[in-house]
Amino acid sequence: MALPRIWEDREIRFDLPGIDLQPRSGEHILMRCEGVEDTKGNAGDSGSLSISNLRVVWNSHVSSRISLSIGYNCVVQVTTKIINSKLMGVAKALYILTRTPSARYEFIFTNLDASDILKHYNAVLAVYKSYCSSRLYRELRLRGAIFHGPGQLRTLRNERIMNTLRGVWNLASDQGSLGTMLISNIRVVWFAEMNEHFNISLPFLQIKQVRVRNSKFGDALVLATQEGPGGGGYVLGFRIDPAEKLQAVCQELIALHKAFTREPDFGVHVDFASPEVTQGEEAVQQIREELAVEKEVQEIDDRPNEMSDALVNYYAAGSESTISEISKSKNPVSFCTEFGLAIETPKEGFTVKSLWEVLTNDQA
Amino acid sequence: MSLFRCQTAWNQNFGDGEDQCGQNCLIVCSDLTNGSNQVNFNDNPKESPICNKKCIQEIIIVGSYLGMLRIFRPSIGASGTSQPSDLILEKQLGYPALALASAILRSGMRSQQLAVMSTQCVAVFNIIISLSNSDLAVTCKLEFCFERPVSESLGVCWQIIVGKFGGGDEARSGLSSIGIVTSGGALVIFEREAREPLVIKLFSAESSPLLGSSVAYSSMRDSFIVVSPSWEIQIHKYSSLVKTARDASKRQPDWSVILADPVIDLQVVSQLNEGPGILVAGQRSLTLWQWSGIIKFSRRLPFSPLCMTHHFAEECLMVLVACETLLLYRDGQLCWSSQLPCPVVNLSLIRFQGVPGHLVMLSDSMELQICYLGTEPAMFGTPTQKEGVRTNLTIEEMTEELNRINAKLQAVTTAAPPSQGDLKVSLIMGQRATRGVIRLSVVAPISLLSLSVMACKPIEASPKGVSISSLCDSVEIPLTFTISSDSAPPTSMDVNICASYAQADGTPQIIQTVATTLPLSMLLHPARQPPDDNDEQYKLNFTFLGPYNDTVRAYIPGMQSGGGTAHFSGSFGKMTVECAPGYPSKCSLQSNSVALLCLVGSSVLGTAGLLPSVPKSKEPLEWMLGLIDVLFEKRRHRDSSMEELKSKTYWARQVQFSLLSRYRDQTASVLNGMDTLLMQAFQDINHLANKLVKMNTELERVERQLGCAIKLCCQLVAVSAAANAAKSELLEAIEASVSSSFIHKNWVEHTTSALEHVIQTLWSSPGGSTGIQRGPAVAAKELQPTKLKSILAQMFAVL
Repeated sequence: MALPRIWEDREIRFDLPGIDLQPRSGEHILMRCEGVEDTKGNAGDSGSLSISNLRVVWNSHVSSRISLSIGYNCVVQVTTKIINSKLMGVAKALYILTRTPSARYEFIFTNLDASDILKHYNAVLAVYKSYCSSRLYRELRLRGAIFHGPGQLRTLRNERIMNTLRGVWNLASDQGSLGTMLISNIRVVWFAEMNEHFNISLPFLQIKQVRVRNSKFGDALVLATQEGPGGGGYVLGFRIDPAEKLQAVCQELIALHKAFTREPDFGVHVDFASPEVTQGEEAVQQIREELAVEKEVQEIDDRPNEMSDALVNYYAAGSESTISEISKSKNPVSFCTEFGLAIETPKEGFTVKSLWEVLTNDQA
Repeated sequence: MSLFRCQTAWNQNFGDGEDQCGQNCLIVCSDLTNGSNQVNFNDNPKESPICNKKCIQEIIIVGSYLGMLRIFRPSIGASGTSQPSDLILEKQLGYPALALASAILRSGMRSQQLAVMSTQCVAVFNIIISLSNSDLAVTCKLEFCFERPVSESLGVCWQIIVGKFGGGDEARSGLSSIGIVTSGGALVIFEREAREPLVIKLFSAESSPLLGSSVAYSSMRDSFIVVSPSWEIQIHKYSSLVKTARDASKRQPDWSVILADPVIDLQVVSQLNEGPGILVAGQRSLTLWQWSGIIKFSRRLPFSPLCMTHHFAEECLMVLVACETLLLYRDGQLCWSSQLPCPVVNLSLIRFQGVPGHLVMLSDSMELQICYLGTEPAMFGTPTQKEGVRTNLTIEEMTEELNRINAKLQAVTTAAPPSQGDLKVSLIMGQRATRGVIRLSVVAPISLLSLSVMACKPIEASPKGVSISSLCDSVEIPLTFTISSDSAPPTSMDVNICASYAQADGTPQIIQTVATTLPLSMLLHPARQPPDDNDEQYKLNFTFLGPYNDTVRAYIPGMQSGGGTAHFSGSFGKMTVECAPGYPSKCSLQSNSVALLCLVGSSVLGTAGLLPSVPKSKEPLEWMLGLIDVLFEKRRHRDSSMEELKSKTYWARQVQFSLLSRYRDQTASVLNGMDTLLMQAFQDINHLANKLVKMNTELERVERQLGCAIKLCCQLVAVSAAANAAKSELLEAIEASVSSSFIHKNWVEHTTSALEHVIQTLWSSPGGSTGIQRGPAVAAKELQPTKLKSILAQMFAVL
């Protein structure tokens, strides 16, 4: 049983249907802030900001149709900004810069609760940091620094080692590598006996299939990983002797995978009672003092938007194509001898020089 | 900001939110895939022409402040993104990796080693990579060679330099020394694996800084280039440094010069024709110094750079300077600029996917990217609606889709008019004239209902519009009408409601109806006192055709059914109404405001079926003709102001372009007071814009007054001429254009042409007109006040 596709932390979506707003299995709402204005896209509208372990969701109180979902994997920067809000005037707001494969978006959320104006910022920052530092829960890691001593696995929070198997052959190379396999409730780890840095940390989240298959080394345990950047779409083979043990390990992995799939642990653990997160009254007082002297105010353009497209409101910059898109497109990457750099081949009829001259002539 | 941007070909984000890196934490080198197990680094990659590299695949080594050393071998997987297997080594060193360098640092080795500088030591490693057919099976080992400590008394390690200090030694060719610049202003040199360092005080004790200085080494001249924290650049021979190691005061540089701004990066360019050069990226400038101390070029930077690199192309020096924008200089001339995905602190070049010259960039938040220069202008990019579903639209597909939509729309519009059964809109006015309720009722559910309430200025409806996502039964929306402060009455008391919605099958429908006509009691209130005699009075007389009925009473509040005299007052003027009882009876309206008189008169005429007599007083006509002069005079003023605004805006843009071009030249030049001129021009534009807004408001007021008069005129024509159906339709068309002045901007022109047509058809050849063929609208430029005046005078004369 494979997990349904996890998009919550990897995508930015606008005006979601109700089913997409519901937390998926393993997703927990860590904090909910009422009375938060989406200052960039829906200035003047109050809403609620739900901070889960995978994403930040904003719902408008004015219209239930208007909502946002920002996955943490798209986030580039979380900071604060002094803005001129419709509902709060000059205030310090949460600023989130994000990037997707096609565009960059920025979001500004202003807390309308004057008594704790940065409550949502502290919460989002803490959860985002926790998300960034817990990639091992969610991503396949090859040759990573996962040991803190010879054979001593750096265990993750809530991780329990269920089984340790010595003499397991990794069948990636032609001759195979002998090593040790550790099975925990969160991941499968294998490392070579001769070189600890040659290791694999494969979380159950990225396992697509577990089975026993025949190979040129005989029956082998095969772990297929999910497609995409987190999993890579690999087929990892391990040989375990004897055959009975292989079957037992396979069954054990299937059972653990099933259990994990029912309630996955994404590794984002934030304790909102910690002093780091709840800065409380001191922070608010500090902000008020800052606001009194702050001169650099970002004006939010509150003219009515002529374009109704929701995402245009948040649009910050253009697309960054991946290499696959470029290879499909008509403008491949080539080496420019004039610059000594790789450059997207200009369209037919244009040269690098003519493009630059158009720009400079226009400026003149 | 540049129009172009760098496109990301490969990226890895391994930041955990805490870890960071600084300058010199990134190096790029090539490995061999010919069976050798050891990394073979290039010669100094910064000084090698990238296009001449013959390596097959290169690796990227990244250090971090939290002590994590990572080695990447970038590749692209089937999904078009980076792969987990691209990371070939990740090791926790246990101390911060402040800077990395590569050179042959161990005797007996033919390949280069990796030097990692920490706060108080420098460690040297050998990197061993075992390649395999499968990416998963590639292994990498970090073999510790030696470590050299730096005394705490000298300060914290600041910068690492590797090179063959003291000149080449044939016996030990290839072996390099390590130099460490400390924050105490000392240069600590570990000569060829020596355990004991040679400590050179770069600055005297008095000027010894706490912050480290920038240092570079030229192997061609065996000299160090030192930039002090006081921004002084000095050239010292290595031998001179060694001789005066303990006493900096006795040392004399070959030459020195004080720079204008702090140094961000310092590099030695070795392949210039004139010998080595010194490339200095300052906070706001980029300068290339020849070894003789002469400036070869200097350019002002539009931003403070974070990093710099250089290479050669077609025997020209190419310099890349980056922060959030990348600038490319070819022999000192800016030849390209590009937006970067994020601010970068480390920049280098790499061969990727077989194409050399890709940019490797590392941000301070530990995001590693390989990019190339994009040639599509960024500002024309539009965001895609759905992430991950990017399709390239073609003209043919779009045309086909447009035709399909057009055909569907045509089918909907020609099939049947909007069925009244779907949505019923009614406006019910309450006891008070200013309040009402819109009742919406449907038979079948509809969705996306949007309702607009339109009334002539200065009457305002609140709310002006309502949106309902779906409607299944009926709903009532309260409505309030108010009159904003204005000096002219509305041209019409009609309230229009426009509703658009989607039927159950998704077909859009639009319904536009005249919901109601607001009572005149909104404008007039009963008054006890008659108007002062001193007020200018205008008068209209009417004769009732039929028995006196309640129609007048309904429109003129306070009138008794038995006739009599009533006085009214309102924000637009005062009015007296006299009605004589009997059959036929007479009615006269007298007011101090012609506009109010015309509005009430046309309303009464239009609805009560009165027979007007020829106005005894000619004042309304004279006033109306005078008003036309005012209107055209105001129009002329408005047009001339608009022309002035256009010319001023054009002029301001010229100054702005001149300023911008100077700014983009990257060279400091005198502004010649252009900034003041620009400011003055903007102030003038603001002043003119404000003036135009006021003019438009005034013009609108005059147009409304004239509209009331023309409407009355049309009513008089309609009643007196007892027009047939076709002619009535023509007159209604004129009225509509007048009362809808808030919709049609050029209503005066349309009305004029329509009136002209009425004159030609209704009077010139009575009964000769068979169809309604309204004359072409008069162009605004052709319309003269005399023409409109003559037409109206002609109409009044007939009456």
